[in-house]
Formats: sequence, C-alpha cells, structure tokens
Amino acid sequence: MSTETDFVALIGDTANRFLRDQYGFTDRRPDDLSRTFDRDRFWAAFMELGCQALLLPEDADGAAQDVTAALPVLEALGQEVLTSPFAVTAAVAPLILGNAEEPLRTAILKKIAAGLHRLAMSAEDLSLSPSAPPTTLEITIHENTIALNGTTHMVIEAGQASAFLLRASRSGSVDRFVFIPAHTPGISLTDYNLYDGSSAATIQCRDVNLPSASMIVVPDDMALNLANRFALCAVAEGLGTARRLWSELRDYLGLREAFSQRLSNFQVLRHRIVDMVSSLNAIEAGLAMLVEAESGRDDRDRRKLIHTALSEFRAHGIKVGKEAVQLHGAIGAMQEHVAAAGLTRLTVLNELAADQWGNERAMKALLQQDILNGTVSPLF
Amino acid sequence: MKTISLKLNAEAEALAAEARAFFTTALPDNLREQVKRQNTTLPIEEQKDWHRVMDARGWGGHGLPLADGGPGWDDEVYYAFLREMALADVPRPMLYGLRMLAPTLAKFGTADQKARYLPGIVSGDTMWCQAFSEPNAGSDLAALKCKAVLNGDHYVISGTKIWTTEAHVSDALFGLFRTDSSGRKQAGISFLMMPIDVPGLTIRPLHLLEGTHEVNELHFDDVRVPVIDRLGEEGDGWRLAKFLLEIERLESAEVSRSWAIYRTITEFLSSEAAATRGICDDPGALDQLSKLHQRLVSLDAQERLLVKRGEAALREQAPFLKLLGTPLFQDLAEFLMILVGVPAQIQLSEQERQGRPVLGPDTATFAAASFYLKRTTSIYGGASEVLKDLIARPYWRKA
Ligand SMILES: Cc1cc2nc3c(=O)[nH]c(=O)nc-3n(C[C@H](O)[C@H](O)[C@H](O)COP(=O)(O)OP(=O)(O)OC[C@H]3O[C@@H](n4cnc5c(N)ncnc54)[C@H](O)[C@@H]3O)c2cc1C
Repeated sequence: MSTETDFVALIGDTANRFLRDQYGFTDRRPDDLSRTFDRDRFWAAFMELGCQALLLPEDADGAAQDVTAALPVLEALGQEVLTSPFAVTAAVAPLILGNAEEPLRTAILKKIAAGLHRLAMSAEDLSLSPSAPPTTLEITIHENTIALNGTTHMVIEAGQASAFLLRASRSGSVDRFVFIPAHTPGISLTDYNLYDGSSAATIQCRDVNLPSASMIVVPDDMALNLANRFALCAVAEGLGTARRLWSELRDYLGLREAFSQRLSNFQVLRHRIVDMVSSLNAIEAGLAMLVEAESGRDDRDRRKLIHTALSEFRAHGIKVGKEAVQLHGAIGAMQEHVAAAGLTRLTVLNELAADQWGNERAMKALLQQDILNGTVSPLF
Repeated sequence: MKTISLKLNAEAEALAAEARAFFTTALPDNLREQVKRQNTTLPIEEQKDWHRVMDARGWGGHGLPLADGGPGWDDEVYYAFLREMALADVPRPMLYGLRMLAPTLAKFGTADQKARYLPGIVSGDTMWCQAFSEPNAGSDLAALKCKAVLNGDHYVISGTKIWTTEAHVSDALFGLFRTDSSGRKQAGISFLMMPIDVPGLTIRPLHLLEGTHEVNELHFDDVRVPVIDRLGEEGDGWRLAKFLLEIERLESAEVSRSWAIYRTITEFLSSEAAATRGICDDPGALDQLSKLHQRLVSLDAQERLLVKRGEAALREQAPFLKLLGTPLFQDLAEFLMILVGVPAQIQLSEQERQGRPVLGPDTATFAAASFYLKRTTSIYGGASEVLKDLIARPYWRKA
C-alpha cells in the first residue's frame, strides 16, 4: 500500500512528465504565439491526472493534502512556462468556497475535483498590496436573491473560466465573495492578453441577479489567507520557470562558441551562472517562507513572511529572467525562446502578486511597529 | 588641462532654442504622443514624412559635414540638437542610414558613392539596414561566413544574415561579407551595399520578446552586387565596420532618451493613478527615483564632458557611455513599469487592434513593452560583457 508521501510524489512526477512530454515549451510555443493552443483540450487532459483534487476536502472527493502537495505541480507548470487557471481553481478559490453554504459548497468543490470547473478571480483579491485598479462591485440584497452592479478589473484567465469568484461590497457591512457562473445575464467581459501569453478581463456587472446562496461570507483573515496562497502559487510556478531558464542557459553556454571557444570558458559568464544559482536559492527560501506562513502563525509574522518572500521573488525572479535573456544574446530576446517567455512570465507573476512599493511599505510599517513594541525576534 | 566645463557653447545653446521652438510647432501630435508613450514601432511612412519636414528645415542630414549635405555642426551643436529631439519626443531618425552609414560613406566613400547614396539618406527617402550579424557570428563578428565571390565586375553573395533591424521596411542594406577565407579572419571581410529588392534576397520576420517585428533573418541566394557598390577596398570591411560601430555605441548610451523616460516617470508620479496607490509620496519609490536621477545626471555630465573634449575623446570613451547608459535606460523603463503596476502588462497591440481603451493611466500604454524591449539594448551594438573586454584589452598592451 502506498503512503501519503508516495502519493504526493507520484502526482508531482506524473504532472511533470505529462507536461514535459505533451505540453513541453518548445513544441507548444508556436501554437501559443499564433493563439491556436487548444486550452480546453489541455485543461481536460490535465484534469485527468487529478491534480485539481489534491487540496480539496475528502467530503468533496478531494485528497485533503497539505498545500505542499501542489508545489511540484505548480513548479512543473512553471518549468514549461505554461499559464493556466490551475492555481486559482485548485489552490486559491477553495479557501473561499469552503465557507459557502451547503449544498452549494460541496457541489462546487466536487465539480472542481472532477475537473468540471475553471475559476477566475481578480488580481486585486489575490494580493495584500495590489496594483490593479480597485473594484467597484456592489451587492444589493433582496429577499431570496442578490443583485450585483459595478466593475472588477484584472480577473485572471476570465475568458476561459466557467465561473468567477469576485469580492463585492455591501454598504454598512464587510465585503462578501460572490460565486458567479460565467454566463449569468448582465455580465460583460472585456478581455485582454498579457505579455506572458495569459489573459485577464475587466468584468462589468449590470443588475446581475443571483440566488442569495451565491454570496459567501468569509472570516476576517481571508484576505491574508488568499494573498498567502496566491503568493505561494506564484512563487512555486516562478521557481519552476527560473530553474528552467537556468538549466537552458547553462546548456547553451556549454555549446555556443565565440572567439574559438565555448562561452562557458569565459570566467565572467561562469560567475554570472553561479550568481543565478544564488537567486534560485533565494526564491526557494521565499517559497519555504510562504509554506511556513500557511502553518498557522500570528498574523503579523505571516505578513512579514509574505512581504519578504515577495520582495525576494521580485529581486531574484526578474533577475534570473533578465540574465537568461542577456547571456543568450539576441536569440534569447526572441519571442519563441524560453528565456524571453520566462522573463515575461516572471514579470507578470510578480506584478500580479504584489505592487513593489505597496509590499515594501507594508513591511516597513510592520518593522516600525516592532521597534516601537520592542518585539524584535527571529521569524523562525 | 582638459576642459572640465559642462556649459555648451553659444552656438549650441542657440540651436537648442531654435530646435525646441521648431519641434513644438512642426512635430505632428500623433507622432509626439506615440514616442512619448514609448512606442518603438512607428509606421515607416510617417517617419519618412517627418524626416522630410526636418530636411525642409535644413536638418535632414544633421550630424553630417556641410560638404556631404549636413548642416556642418560641431559636436556640441549636434549633441544639443539630439538632446532637444529626445526631450521633444521626436521620433528617432533613421539610425542605420543617417547615423551610421552616412558618416562612414562621408569618410571612406568614393565621389560616385556619395553622390548616389547620401542625398537619399539626408532627404529621408532611403531607409537603410545593417546586415553584419550571422547565426554563428554575433559578438565574434569576425567569424562571419556569408560569402561574396568576385565574378567579373560583380560579387555573388550566398549565406545568411540575422537580427537585421528594420530590413522589412528598408530600401537598401549594407553589410559585411567574406571575400577571403585564407588568412586572419578579420582580413577577408568586405563592406557591400545593395538595394533591398535585389534578386535572390529573402527576408524572414523574427519577433522580439514582447511581440514586435523589428528584426529579420536574411537569406542570400546568389545575390549579385556590382563591385562599384563596395565601400573601401576589398578586405577593408573590418576597419570600416569598427569605425561605424563606434558611432553606434555613442548613440546607444541613450542619455537624452533616458531623460525623456525620466520625465514620463515624473508625470506618472503626479497622476491620480499614482496617488490612489499611495506611490507619489512613498519614500521607497522616491529613494529609487533619486538614485536613478543621480545616475542619469552623472552619465549626462560624463557624456557632456566628452562632447566638449572632442571627437577623439568621444570615440575612445564611447564604450563607457554605453556601459553606463544601457543599464540605466533599462532600469528607468523597469521603474516606470513597476510604478504603473499590473495594467502595464496588457499587450497593447492587441488592444489597439480591437479598438478598446487600455486599462490604467496613459503612461501604462507602452511601459511594459518598453521594459521588455530595452533588454536588447545591452545586447546589440556590442553586448556589455564583450564591450568590457574590449575596453580592458589595451590596458596591458606592451608600449
Ligand atoms: C534587437 C536587436 C537588434 C539587432 N540589430 C542588428 C542589426 O541591425 N544588424 C546586425 O548586424 N546585428 C544586429 N543585432 C545583433 C547584435 O549585434 C548581436 O546580438 C550581438 O553582437 C551579440 O551577438 P549574439 O547575439 O550572437 O550573442 P553571442 O555572441 O552568442 O553572446 C551570448 C552572450 O555571451 C556573451 N559573450 C560573448 N562573448 C563573450 C566574451 N568573450 N566574454 C564574455 N562574454 C561573452 C555576450 O555578452 C552575450 O551575453 C541585433 C540584436 C538585437 C538583440
């Protein structure tokens, strides 16, 4: 009988092999660029592996695993620079959906487990310091129904979602999340492509009527939980991409010749490759911080871990992307090349996860408070 | 003692004022807006039309001596003019013809070559591209293999060139070709010029990391070029290319265009979008702004000192300017992109095609595209790593 760890390793391994062999970057890239990549087919095939059920509760046909079980899958997606609704659908949205009323809760989670749902959320709700323009979505409560009006921007992969999970306000009350099937009357989408090949949309709601049960009341720490989980997904994916860029570059420098020798003979390039490994280590340490932040610490420590991990991800993730382009020379700056795709993906992941200045400001405020309180101690 | 003054001479100051006034009235708003928003792919006809306007003003051949159709400015006046162009969001003039080939032609061309090629460059009617690099000859340019075999009064060219900027919108090309493989690899290279529609030449588009079509791959299949279109002697190509590339390096320090991005940054910082996100008075952002400003002022001063010290100093020290200038240019673009935030990541060309408004402030439009594109500035015109090597080489040369 296989242990739990074996099961997790097996899923990670299977996802890795499946993505590499069937949706590998090099073979897939021309379709990405001509926008003929069949996302529906990919999603359907990917769901057959069952990764989407890893983090879901058992009563919804999930494997009830700890968040670390999803990391190999996220990293494998990053390795192939493959954007997808996986993170939001399988790792982030279930945090909110767990609070939905029954029978809606189990019904939706079971559909996710079966691979029948793709969910989209707004970048604003996935970050503690978002740079997306703020939502104006408002709820009006009627007897058995609710009505939604307003606009939410930067809803990630909204165009291919079966439902949206958006935050809306209600005057005199705290925000709620609303589960909105994609084809509900009154919804209009303005889709845009992002530089990394993913898409996002502005969603406008005009008198969108939904059953009251679509409204999900969440606990106070939900914003923190969502930001923690999304940061974890972004950094795990980014780590996969960064590792891929590094190994591609190492191989290229070992093959490419200039001035009658391999580029890997030049000391300055060897040093740069070594510095990139330090960056990979820093991103991985950030990922570990985000896992730690998930494990039930006090809010202030969690925030510090998230802010630090995201600062490190920005500094080192984008640096690895830039180095991969620079040290490949012109070929690395071509749209078909994994270095170019990796740099755009790492940049977009960073921009989605946090506004650099907002992130740093929030961290500084926490540290300032620590100084005032005299409560300075190591985080772990 | 070498001059230590940063003041431009009176003629340069006067020309700067004149140019500023001219650009304010003569530059079409549409072009100004595009450049200001960092759009690097302007329609070629609009660029040519604008060049003709400048030519009518007597500035079509700016940078060239009087005898070759230019206004005959000294370095300081020329520098002041370039600065005003950048600050007024004037499209960058056709780089390869005017800035690179024209001075090289003026110095090394025959009277016949000058008469045939310089007027088209000055008027803006002929757009040129530069075909030096090959798949296996980039930094190590002398390793180039694309062959030109002398056959009577023609060369017959076969092989591949790559990364040729703007070949798809050019009227003519100049390039380096191997005419002899027997000796030192630098020795057997010749410099040839030809029309872009010469039979046997095919152009394949390549797309840069954010999607623009700027560079190309060229295939030469027995392309015939008359010997009279060889610049310099046979085997002289390496010397000519070095002369020409040194001009490119000076241009690519991008000081003036960095000031233009800096200004866009400050405009964004005073916008409502920045206020909503609490950026305009964010100490972290201001700290970064101040550091970028400091680097820019220092680079500007270094460039100006060299301009004042004259042609020889400028050529010798130009690689330093590029080494400092390109990362600064890149960092400014990155700073702007990060300030704008996630709306900057919307791929604009598609938005425009679909006629939809862009999310976020106007400044967002090309902020990310500009960041991605500017990664290439430290690759072309001599990659930074190789430039440093070139600079260091003479330090240990025996006296
Ligand atoms: C946008 C763009 C436009 C261009 N336009 C033109 C054009 O119009 N015409 C044209 O002819 N060419 C053009 N180029 C090509 C450009 O000149 C080359 O890309 C450049 O010379 C570098 O060559 P490479 O790309 O082959 O890189 P490589 O030479 O393969 O270098 C790869 C990496 O190795 C490093 N490296 C190489 N040698 C050494 C060394 N000895 N020591 C340390 N590091 C080293 C380089 O710095 C680089 O980071 C363009 C390139 C780009 C990106």
